[in-house]
Amino acid sequence: MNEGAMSGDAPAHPVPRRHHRSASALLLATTALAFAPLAQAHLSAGDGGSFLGGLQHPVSGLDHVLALVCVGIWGAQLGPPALWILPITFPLVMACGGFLGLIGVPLPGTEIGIALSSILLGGLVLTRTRLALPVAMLLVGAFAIFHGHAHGAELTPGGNALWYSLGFVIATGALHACGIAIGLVHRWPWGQSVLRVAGALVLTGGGLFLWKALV
Amino acid sequence: MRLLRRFRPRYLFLLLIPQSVHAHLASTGFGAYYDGAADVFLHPLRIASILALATFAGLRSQAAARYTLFCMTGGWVAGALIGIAPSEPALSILGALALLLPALLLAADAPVAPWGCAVVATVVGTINGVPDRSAGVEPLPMPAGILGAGAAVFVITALTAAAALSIHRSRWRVVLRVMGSWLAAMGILAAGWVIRFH
Repeated sequence: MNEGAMSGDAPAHPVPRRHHRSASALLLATTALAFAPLAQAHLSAGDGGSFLGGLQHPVSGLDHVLALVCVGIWGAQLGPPALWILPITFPLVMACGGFLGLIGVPLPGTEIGIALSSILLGGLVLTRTRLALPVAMLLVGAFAIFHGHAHGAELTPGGNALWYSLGFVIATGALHACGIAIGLVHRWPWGQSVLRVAGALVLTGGGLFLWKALV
Repeated sequence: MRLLRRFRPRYLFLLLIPQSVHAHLASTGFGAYYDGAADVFLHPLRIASILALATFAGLRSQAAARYTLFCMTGGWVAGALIGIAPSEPALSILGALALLLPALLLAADAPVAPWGCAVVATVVGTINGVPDRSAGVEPLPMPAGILGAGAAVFVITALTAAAALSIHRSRWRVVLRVMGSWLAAMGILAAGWVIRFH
């Protein structure tokens, strides 16, 4: 009997390969079951369109893309646990913002908030600022509300809610993952310079968007 | 023997990928029991809900997984037997909430006691078991169809919780927590969508 499994403590002996296989099996099964929507009794032409629409929405604007990628880069700079907590926080809070946008709750200054997110996140990456995890989560969450609200308010009727939200979340996560992958180069001296340039570019882009929003 | 070894059990997941069905109710041709089991797979929101809760329970402890297994199944069957059929928008919102709650627990890796998992499983199972009586959808035949659905829920929950129980590396726990946050985000967006467009 593996006491470690029952109490949740780390086992005394190395983890057998069968546990890795179990984890793989879990992920593979989950992936397969993700195809369950194929078995809908009524296949409507809108379902595939809903998924693609959701997939396309987070990448529909450069202002969104810059901020999402920058969250991943900053998380990589901060290292664990921020590395994975920030990409958990952002989609979750963004979905809340999307919910508010969908039900029609107004949020003033959405475009300004989105532009400011690029400016601030780009600045944090440029200066390699390290903040306490709760503060980082608060900051990222605050910006995520604006991004989510903008997406939610732009949605049009028609299509399947689940397919759309699945595509939306996948695209958001993919952009975070891109940012994390880019951010991992901070381990090397040349990588740190690359990231500072990237941060400067994001900051500049945010400045342009802010100017557009104010004019 | 070598051929059997190459055909590893992990590739059996390919059998889980369903084909399209073109009927109001899944008709497997094997009878009402199997129709009820197949019907579980026709609702992706419910599948996601089961996976999220079973994974969470498995990550907590063996006791939590055990309680979740039986309470989820029992709640599902009870929900189907109660037969209360809310309107389609209300059903969709309840379904989204039934996904949101376990997904949030999974994302937060909340320290819930086994009895707490049992309560959540009962609620989630009951909500998901409520029959879908939207236009054109035939109810599950009683009692074989409902028993089949219960059996499918039992098997899915058992397999998922067992796999989660075997995970010890923190890296995999992180991956599952990220998945939980994505599922929670899906639940929130799906609920907002229903409120806005129905």
